[in-house]
Amino acid sequence: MLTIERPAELNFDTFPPEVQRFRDRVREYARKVVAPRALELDQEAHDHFAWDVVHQGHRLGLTRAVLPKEFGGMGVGLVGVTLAMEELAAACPGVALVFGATMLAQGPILLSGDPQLQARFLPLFGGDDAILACNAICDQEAGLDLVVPQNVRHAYGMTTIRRDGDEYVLNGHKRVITNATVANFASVFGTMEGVRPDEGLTCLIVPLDSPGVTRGPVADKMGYRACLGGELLFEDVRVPAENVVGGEGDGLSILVAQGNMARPSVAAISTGVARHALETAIEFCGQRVQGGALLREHQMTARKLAEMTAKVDAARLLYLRAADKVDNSLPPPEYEPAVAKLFADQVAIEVAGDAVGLLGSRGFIREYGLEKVLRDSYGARIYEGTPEALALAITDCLYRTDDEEGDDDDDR
Amino acid sequence: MTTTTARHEAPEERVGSPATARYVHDLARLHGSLRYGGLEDAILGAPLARIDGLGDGLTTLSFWEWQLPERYMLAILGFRLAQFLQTGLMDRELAHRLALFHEPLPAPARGVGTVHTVTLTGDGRIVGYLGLVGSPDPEPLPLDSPVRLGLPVEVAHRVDLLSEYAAPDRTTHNAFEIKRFVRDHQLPRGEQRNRVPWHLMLACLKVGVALDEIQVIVGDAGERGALRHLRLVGFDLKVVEGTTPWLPRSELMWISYELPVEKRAKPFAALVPANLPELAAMLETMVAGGGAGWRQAVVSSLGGPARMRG
Repeated sequence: MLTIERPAELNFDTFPPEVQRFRDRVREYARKVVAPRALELDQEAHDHFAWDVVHQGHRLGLTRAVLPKEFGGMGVGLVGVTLAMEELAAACPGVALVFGATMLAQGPILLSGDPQLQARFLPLFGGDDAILACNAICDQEAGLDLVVPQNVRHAYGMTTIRRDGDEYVLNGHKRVITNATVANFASVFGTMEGVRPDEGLTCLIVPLDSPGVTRGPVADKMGYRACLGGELLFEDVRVPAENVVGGEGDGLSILVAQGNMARPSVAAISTGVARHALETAIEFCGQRVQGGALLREHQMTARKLAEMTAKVDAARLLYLRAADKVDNSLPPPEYEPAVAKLFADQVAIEVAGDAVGLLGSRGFIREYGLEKVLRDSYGARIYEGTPEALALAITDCLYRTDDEEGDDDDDR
Repeated sequence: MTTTTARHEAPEERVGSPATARYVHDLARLHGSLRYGGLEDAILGAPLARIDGLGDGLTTLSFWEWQLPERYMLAILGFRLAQFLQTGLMDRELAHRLALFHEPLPAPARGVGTVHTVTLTGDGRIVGYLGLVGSPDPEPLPLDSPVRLGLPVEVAHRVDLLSEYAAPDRTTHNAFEIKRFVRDHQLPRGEQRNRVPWHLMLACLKVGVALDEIQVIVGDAGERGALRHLRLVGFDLKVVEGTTPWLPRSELMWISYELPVEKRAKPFAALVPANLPELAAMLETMVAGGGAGWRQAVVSSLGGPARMRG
């Protein structure tokens, strides 16, 4: 059975100075640059992309936040990244995900431990102009099967990879890939031809200007409209053999570790969405008079506000615990990130819904902005693991025996 | 100084394995794609020299190493690595094996420090570089001191370039080595490409004007490269022939000393000319002149006095 130990020396009230400074700078950017544009970006055409906003975030280090300092990174760890994601998402989660998806694509390169692969791709983010990346997992048919490790063997219709001399040849069709339209390169997961996916899953780093790569249409999404979810088609794309992450068949372990690293950030995005809704509700209920009293003085409303704030606080503590664990564990843990994401995603939906209810018609009318928050709140329920997938991961941890933990370690 | 304007083709046998060749190609592409439009604003304090507005779309900046944040320092070191790997003057296999994406960061300066000069295009692409490396002696010593530390060129060529310039008011902190004079290999042929070395040279003169502690310069260079440029702008160079330079194979540049003798860089030394401010002003006027004849004007105007001295 899983033993949940009380973490020692955790203090989530103060952070290392460089983390604090990074969060403060991102907060200012979120409030002064992103928030004033959030509604406009939401209502633009579905394939509109605000490079100017992204360039400004890049200059703060948001595309290299997770990179080590030797690559020009910020060296703020996942704790710093999650704090930044909450700040961004409180302004616009779509903008947060532009940077989050880039970090996600950097994950396999970092996890590879391959200094030559790192040298060829990570310095890209050190320039003054924003460079973005994307992580291409979902195929036309294989979606959630690739998120639940025990289901990977059932995945079908996947992108295929074939070795040909010093190159790999890639064929497939990826869909709903954040940043596909604007990325410089993609971390692409596919399976070796003729090999079962759980044994053949392989990750390649693919420059998206390679011959045979086509960027497909952008999905017209319900929320997160500031980031673009597009398709990628690979037709006999030839990729140098040294672009493989780890080796052939190492994709599943990379994918699991990458997911565990990413989930605290997604939980932080959901927390930011919920915080936006909460702050809007607090402001409104502190000014709006009904029945001769401020809304916040009505017991039903006070109870609702209290529960909303408790949920946001709890979501934040859970993502910080998970991020702290990821920063200090190798391989990254499975349990804490999954719990943080499961909880925060649900909190975003609940708090956004409650806030819309408290604002009444103002919550229902687009120009007030809360309607966007409600739509956005459903986004993280879908990407990087649905509640159903997370439940399987969490429950698996609950029933995992010490022997199995040991086996895992041996395998690694 | 191993000087190059990136024209030298590396011997075929030094191209390396296909994976190394792809690595070099990828690094060149990577660094060629990066832009550093914010570099000037990132310099702490005022640059030592700044050349802009000459109508060629280039900006050249000189600054002490301590004036530049590390991210931009990595950019410069990355540019240098990518350029010298392309020219074949650095060991490609070693760089590949070490997974370098920039030249190694220099150790914290014990002595005088380094002045970097970079030329940037209007969109922030680095297209030229020149370094002036100060003495590693923590404290100033006479130029003929037996315990002074050698400048890199003296170590590589096993030659003493400074003793003969010893003077009562001149120390090792007055001697600087010109290093890594390089123009972007990928810059298309044309006016901008022609002007990069002159931007660098002009900035170098301006640094000399700004820092009167620079009294002696040394380096190593090819006859058709920086030696020619330095002579043209008025340096009375003493070139040492017949050295047998050598660097350990753990050094990236060792390979540059294995070139055929006629292509090998020669060590040199020179006193900084007393009329440096006039030379700098003259060069600036000519480079600013633009038009098709500016290069000829530089050569004829500066070359005359140089020939008379010679």
